[in-house]
Amino acid sequence: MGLDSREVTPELCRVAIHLAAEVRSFERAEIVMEQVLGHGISRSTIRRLAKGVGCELSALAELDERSDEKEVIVPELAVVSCDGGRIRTRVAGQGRGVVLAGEKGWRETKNASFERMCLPPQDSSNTDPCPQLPSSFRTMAKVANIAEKPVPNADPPCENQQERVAYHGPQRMLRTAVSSMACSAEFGPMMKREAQRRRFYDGSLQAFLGDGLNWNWSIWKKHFPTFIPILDFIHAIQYVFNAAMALHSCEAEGWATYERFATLCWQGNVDSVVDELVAACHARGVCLDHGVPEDDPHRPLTDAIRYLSNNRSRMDYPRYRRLGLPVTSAPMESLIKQINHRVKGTEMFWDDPDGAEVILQLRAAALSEDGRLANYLNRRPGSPFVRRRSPPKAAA
Amino acid sequence: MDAAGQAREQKKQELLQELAELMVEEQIEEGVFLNTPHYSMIERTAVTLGRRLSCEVQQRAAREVAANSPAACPCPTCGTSCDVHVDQRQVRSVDGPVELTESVAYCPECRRCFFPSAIGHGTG
Repeated sequence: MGLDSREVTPELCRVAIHLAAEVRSFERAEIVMEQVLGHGISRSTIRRLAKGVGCELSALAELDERSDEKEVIVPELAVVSCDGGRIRTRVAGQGRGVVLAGEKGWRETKNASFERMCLPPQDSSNTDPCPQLPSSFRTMAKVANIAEKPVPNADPPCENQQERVAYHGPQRMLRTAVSSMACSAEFGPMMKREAQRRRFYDGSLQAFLGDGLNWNWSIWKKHFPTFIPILDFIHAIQYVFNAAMALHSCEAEGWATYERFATLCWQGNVDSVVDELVAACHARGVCLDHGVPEDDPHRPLTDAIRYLSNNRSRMDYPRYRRLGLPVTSAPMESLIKQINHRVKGTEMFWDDPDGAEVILQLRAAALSEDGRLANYLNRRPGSPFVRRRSPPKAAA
Repeated sequence: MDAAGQAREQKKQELLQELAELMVEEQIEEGVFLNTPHYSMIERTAVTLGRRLSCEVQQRAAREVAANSPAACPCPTCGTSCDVHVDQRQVRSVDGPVELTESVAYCPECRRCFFPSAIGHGTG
């Protein structure tokens, strides 16, 4: 009948798990349950239920086949994105309080999104639908925010002078998510299984988006070689902005150079930017064969040269736009924020690695739009046993 | 829906109406309607009744499952055939605690009780 060993009915378990996946803490989940239902279960029981379901989801993710037997629509456009996140961990089994795992407890998480998308309307001329740099990448405050730098002291362009430009990429139809503490060698096969379950390899058009992290592209090379690789444009302009500002002592000139470089990248002329940066380095006596110290004022130039050179084969943005593909991984960044809402906070430390893995599995399932968490809970097998209770402690 | 189904549906409707009448009667006695009540009072009473009904239905349905269980069942751990008897246990449901009547078996090899209804079921 699907009854849990903790003597909780499947429906109450469903409520507890959804609360555990959505509410910021198990304590809050207990309070919300009490408020909504008028009764409830303790936070420790919610935590244990979440742990059980998270482990089961993890085991289920390792199966090659879908478990819900639902028909899967072959995507017109299949987009896979991946990125790293961070989570704070504690050593498990140390009782109450936090014993940090590692120096400060930070561990990297791996996250991937799988989006079935619908292509934007395209004309038959096969021209670039948006050759001009979008207005958002010409907005100083926004670009400075992306680069995590102060807003340049330059005159902003007059609103009336510039028509608002935007690239209208594909529309998301359905997204699922995978998140884990696994290393990239283990995470790649997890991504592959999810793509197989979603029939992404059968998609008419396939794209793989990521930033410049090496592990992203190792996974792409090994598991998604048929997907068109696309470097997230937003990450590219971070480097371009920093380099442009390092080239000039006058911020207005730096901003003008940024706009020119960003436009060149947007129009697929990455080599021109690299050539210009290399020439600037040579003119300033910066040797590119040897590393430049972290605090060297020319460091942004060498960083940009390295980043753009390493990724230039994934920066053919005019082609991607003609195909109707996405050019930024903003939805992936948004997914990470949604995951972090539950797993990251000043007071949040997860047992390393099990507690962290469990909450990531649960959160990713809750954020998947195919209803996989609800489907699983509706079919979750019961336990033939009742949990063994600890014998009462003898009075001292 | 066949005639028997229609008759059952009509009876359910009648019983629900009767229950609703009883609830209002009780609230009149309590003076709820002497002034215009806050709707939350009406709603909360109705939800409480719904929950009692839910628990009652769950208990009855579990008895039905227990009545249909076999006389013996293999232990999920060691496979020993074990005699099945009927027992009661309390579980927590979304509508409150429920006293379930369930078939239970005791495995003398594992020295542990188990619930045959959980083996190979739970999805349908």
